[in-house]
Amino acid sequence: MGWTISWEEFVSYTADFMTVSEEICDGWVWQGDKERSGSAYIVKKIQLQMPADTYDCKQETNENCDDLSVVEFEESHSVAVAESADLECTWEYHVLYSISYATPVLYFNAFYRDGRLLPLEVIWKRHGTETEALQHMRWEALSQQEHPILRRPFYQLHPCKTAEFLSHHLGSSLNPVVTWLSSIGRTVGLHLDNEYSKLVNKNV
Amino acid sequence: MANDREVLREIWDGRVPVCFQLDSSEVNGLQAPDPYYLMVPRLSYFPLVTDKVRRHFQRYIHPDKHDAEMWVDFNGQPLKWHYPIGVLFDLHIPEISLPWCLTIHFDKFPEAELLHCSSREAVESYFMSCIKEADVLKHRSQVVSNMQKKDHNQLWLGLQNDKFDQFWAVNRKLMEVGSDETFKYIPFRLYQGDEPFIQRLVKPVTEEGQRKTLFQFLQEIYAENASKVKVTTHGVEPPSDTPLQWMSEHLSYPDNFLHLCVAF
Repeated sequence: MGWTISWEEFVSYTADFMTVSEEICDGWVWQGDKERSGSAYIVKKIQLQMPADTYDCKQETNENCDDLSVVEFEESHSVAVAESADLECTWEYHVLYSISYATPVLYFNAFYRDGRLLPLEVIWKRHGTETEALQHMRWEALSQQEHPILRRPFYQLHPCKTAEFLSHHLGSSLNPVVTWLSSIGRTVGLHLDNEYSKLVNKNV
Repeated sequence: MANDREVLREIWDGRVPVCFQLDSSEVNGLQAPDPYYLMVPRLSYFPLVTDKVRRHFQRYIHPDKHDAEMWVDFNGQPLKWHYPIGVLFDLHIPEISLPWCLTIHFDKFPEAELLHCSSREAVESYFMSCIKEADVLKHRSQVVSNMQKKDHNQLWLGLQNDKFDQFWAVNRKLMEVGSDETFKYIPFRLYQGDEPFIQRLVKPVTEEGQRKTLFQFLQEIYAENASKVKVTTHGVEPPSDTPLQWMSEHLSYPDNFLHLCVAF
């Protein structure tokens, strides 16, 4: 079927990841209960600049959107016109263990400054599943799911291909969590520092 | 194998009487709409059965909200549409008198609590992800992986159109057992109030090779408290000596999970 890992292995690989994170002050933290299978995960929050045209005006009147643009302009003290100003959004990444798939799973959310979620359409666009050829696959790749521990809506990169993906690295990776996260994370705005590669390579 | 067809049919035909009412603060105009009464399938999902409800109430709300995302609450609590209707009902049984009175909203979608549901594709996506997860547990994903796309479509269409034979023509493959006559693990979720549902790896047989009963399963989860646990699924409490493998074959929802509501 592919390369699967036990919960104990997930905790061990992730602990190594956390050691590097602390060394380089990368900001990941453990959450939850490591003593209960599947009940702990790691979290990181970052600010990302998003193109202004990703702002979702659907749930606001035009007037409110205009007001927000003005506020954005004033706060940035920029000479650029309001329409081209980037929006700063908070992205929150959670790496969980899937008991069913026996693999790591990435859950995440992205928020506008006013606290509203970025819509799925915007997430897909960034993920690259917006292109015509991949339209039919986008629902299978990335969608909203219930966070198994927090019980709140989160976006999830579907884990059904993870074990197969990892099996390609079975002989070459010493840390499947890092290998997996460095590959899929970048599709949703998460780029791992090169320092993590020392956990993966057998040569070092 | 899911051989007991009468049980499968009874489960499939389960219905819940619902009275839908529009949130009074969203009525636009002098005339409040009549409630909308509907018998809804336990095994389905609210977004799949509420097209007529939406059209009924749409005429009474502000035109700006006609295309807004609809959501449902019971006693002020938003209902998670991605749970099958029967599960939502079982979770609230102590508070419900029939018909089940639910409030419809078109405003202030609570996105911190509910998954967005912009189209039926969202329901299909969620449903199929559950089917895949269940098969990973039962058959290491081998059955779902070997299915053709048209089989996946048939599962979805059978559910969406409430067609038992169409659905079970494909689903019987997902209920197949190998030479050992059991699944590898039992797909289940245990719900207890507002806590995170419990989902673990549970084999259908004991280490001695005996078929586990519901009670033995509960002992695995609740240890010495197992005898105090009352389990409800599909609105009934299965006897504690019911074999777990049989339950998984016959009492699972179409997503192939046993959704068990627990009370003490």
